Parts: sequence; structure tokens; C-alpha cells
Amino acid sequence: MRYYKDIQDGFIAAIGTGGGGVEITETEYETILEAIRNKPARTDTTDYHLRQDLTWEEYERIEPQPDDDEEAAPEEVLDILLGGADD
Amino acid sequence: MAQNITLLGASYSDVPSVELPKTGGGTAQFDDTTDANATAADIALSKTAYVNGVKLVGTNQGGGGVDAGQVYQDGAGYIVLDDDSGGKYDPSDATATAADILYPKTAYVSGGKVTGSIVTKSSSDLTASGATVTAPAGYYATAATKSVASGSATPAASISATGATVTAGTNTLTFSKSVSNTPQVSAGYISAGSSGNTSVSLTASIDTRSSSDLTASNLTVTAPSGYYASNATKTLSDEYLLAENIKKNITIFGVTGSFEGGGGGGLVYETGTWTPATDSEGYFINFANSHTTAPFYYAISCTSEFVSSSSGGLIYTNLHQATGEPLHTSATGLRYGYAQRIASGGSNSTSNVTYPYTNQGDSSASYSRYWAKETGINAPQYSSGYPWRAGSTYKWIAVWAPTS
Repeated sequence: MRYYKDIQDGFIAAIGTGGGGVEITETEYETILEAIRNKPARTDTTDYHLRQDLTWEEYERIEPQPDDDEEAAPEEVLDILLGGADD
Repeated sequence: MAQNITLLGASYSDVPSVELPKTGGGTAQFDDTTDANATAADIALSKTAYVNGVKLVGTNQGGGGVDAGQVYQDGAGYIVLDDDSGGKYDPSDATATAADILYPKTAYVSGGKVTGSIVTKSSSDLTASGATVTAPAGYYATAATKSVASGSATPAASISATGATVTAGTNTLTFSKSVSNTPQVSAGYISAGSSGNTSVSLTASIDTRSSSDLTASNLTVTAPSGYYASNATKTLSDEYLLAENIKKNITIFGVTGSFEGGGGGGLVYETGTWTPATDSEGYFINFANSHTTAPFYYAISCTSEFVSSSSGGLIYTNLHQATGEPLHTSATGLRYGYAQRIASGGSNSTSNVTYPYTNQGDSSASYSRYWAKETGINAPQYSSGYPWRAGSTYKWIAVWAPTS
């Protein structure tokens, strides 16, 4: 199994298995996972980024805005499943 | 000596001695000794003799009145007088013979006076014939020498031999050829040592080989017999020996596979997980392999701790669900959501369901990853705006139809 870590803006954004990211060892994966699960509790206004040395850096949390994309109708969805839709 | 005498007026001729009567009887003989010439030295020691009317007393120790150095016979054999002492030497017991005496020296032995027969020789009498030097019998007063001719033995300067036999061993190549070297010899004395060196050259032919002679059929490489001056190599290849054709982490002939997934019935699928370090609005799911189409099926599940249907633990798929309601709400139960159109570029979404699509904003049609984004009100953390929770591990699966 391939283990990896995603680095964004110098921070560890995520770890995972499969493709993508920077490949790491299983041991490093487990180490980072343990650090993630011991993350400090966030608040409504602050959260924490995980540095590559596995320490946490506080930052101001920004509330995301919902998308205004339209919802696909069920008929349209069925059409996709049956292969009638174009990409 | 006989004399003519006159006695009582009578003459007598050649009278050697006169005998007269002695007073008182008998006779006395008187001899004429005037012709005697011996001296006292000639007369043996203490012996007397009348010489010319005089009586002499001998002084010769050898007796008999013989001069020193002379040889005479006294009836007992030949006697040689010593010059100094006058002693007698009786040669009757002498053992020497002529063969023991140098020629022409003489000596008196038991048989009388003999002349030596041993011939004196010298170097000039030596003869040489071949390896034999002959010194004739005789007496050599000094060492005799004879020079002999010098000989020589010269081997051939070089020997060539073609057609040597080549024998290949385990790690050796042996050339063998019997050759002979007959030196040219001239008769004579040959001193110890060496004379000349003979170079020997052997010629044998053998096929030389190189990498270009190697042939290959599948996994069998054949190296024809012959001599390889250096290592010969042949690289085997196959156009399909590619990482994407080999199962991931399996190495075949140095090529490590990268293919992940599999599937029954010819389907191709990939799976993976991700765990955010921070609550996130979306996440790029990257496929390990390149695909020419979008997966016809995908799903995302949350394997974290239990969350209710309204707060998380949702399974997202593209399977259509008419009512939009969850089939069940267990922590790991599958919840159907609305199917989403998969398009390149742009985005299609509903406000309720996660929708993976190609790179957001990317007009490329490469299907290498999907943007998992949740903005629906049923998202577990929608109220916070970040559906993907830090520390929660999400599983995803994407399925493609088999290619022909």
C-alpha cells in the first residue's frame, strides 16, 4: 500500500493511501495520523494548521460560502447513468 | 812369472818356481813375482800376497783387491761395490725388471744387468679422437695436457607450430601443441651452461565472439561457442513491460508495477483514503493510474467514529436515489445521494450532495483526480462550512468500465 502526505502552503493538509501527494512510509503515516488525532480543539473563529514538524499553528477560521450551483434533476441523473449525457 | 835361471852352473829356461830343501827337512818353494801388478788396495783386507818379491797386506774391505765402484763376481753372484763404504751388494734378491726401469737406464738385478724399458712420454704423445683422449703407456715426468676441439649445440632460434588444439575448461582456455627442438651440434667439448633461447609460437584459431553474437528468444539468451574478449551482454525487452501493466509494488525484471485496482468481470477500480489535518471544504482525490474516461461509479465513505445522518459519517455515491433520502442512517451505512454529472471544466453540483468532477477550473479532459466537495445541507459539518473533518479518515472508490 502506498502512503502519502499532501503539503499545501507548507503545511500538511492531509495524509492518505493511494495516488497523489508525497509518498511516505507507513511509519511516518501512522506518526502523522497520531498527530492529527491529537489536534487542538478548534473554535468558531480559530483553527490550526499542521506544520511539517508535526506542531500546530493557529490561524483565523474563515466561514465558507455555499455554492449556488443548480441541483441536477433526477431525470438528468438517470440520463447520465445510462450514458446519454455528454462530458 | 817363468824365468830362465842358472843353478849350479846349469841353465834352466822358463822356470816358474824353484823348490829347495830346507834345513831341517822339507822344501821351500820360491816363485818369481816380478810380473804381479796388484797393490794392497787390490788385495782383500788383511790378506797377503807377494808382488814383485814384496809381501803385501791387503787393504780392500771388499776383499779381493777390486777397485771401488767396480762390479765383480765372487762366486756368490754379482757384487757392486759402494763407492763410499766399500760394502757389498748382493743383487740376487732384486725384484726389479726391465719393465720397471726407465729406458735407457741400466741396473743390476738378480738376472744381471738390465736396461730399462719404460719409455718416457710427454704431452706430445697424447692423442684425442672424439671424446677420448689417449695417453700411451710410459713415464710422464710432468703433467701432460691435450687440448680438444670445442663443440657447440645450438637450438633452433624459433619454433612455429600451427594447428594447436584449443580446449575450453571451466574458467580457462588451453592451447596445446607438441613441438620439438633439435639443436644443431658440432663435435667437440661443450662447456656447461645454456646456449641460445628458442622462442616458441603456437597458432590456433578460435572463433571470436561479442555481444552482437548473442541471440535471444523470450527469456532465453544463447551465447554461441567461441572466445569472448570482453563481457558480452544482451538486453531483453518487451514493449509491454511497463509499470502500468504490472500490479503495484510487484517488480518484474526491474520494472516496479504501479497498477492499482482490479475488478471482477474486467472492471477497473481504484481505492484510496485520506485524512485531513484540518477541516476542509474539499479534497483532491488523485488516481494512481491514468484513465481515458471518467469512472462510471464512485463512492466516498467515512470510516471515522459514528456521526448521525445530519452530522457526518455519510457515504457519498453517484448512484441515483429517487427521494434523496438516506436508505439507512447507521454510522457506516450507505447513503445514496444524487448522481452528479461528470464534466471537464466547470462544475456541476447540487447543494446537497458531494460531487466529484475533474479539476476544478481545469478544462483538461484528463481524468486523474476528482474534487470531493460537500456543500449540501446534509453535509455533516455544513454548518461550519468544512465537511471534511480533521482526523476523520474517508475512503473512496472509483470504478471504470473495462477497455477493449
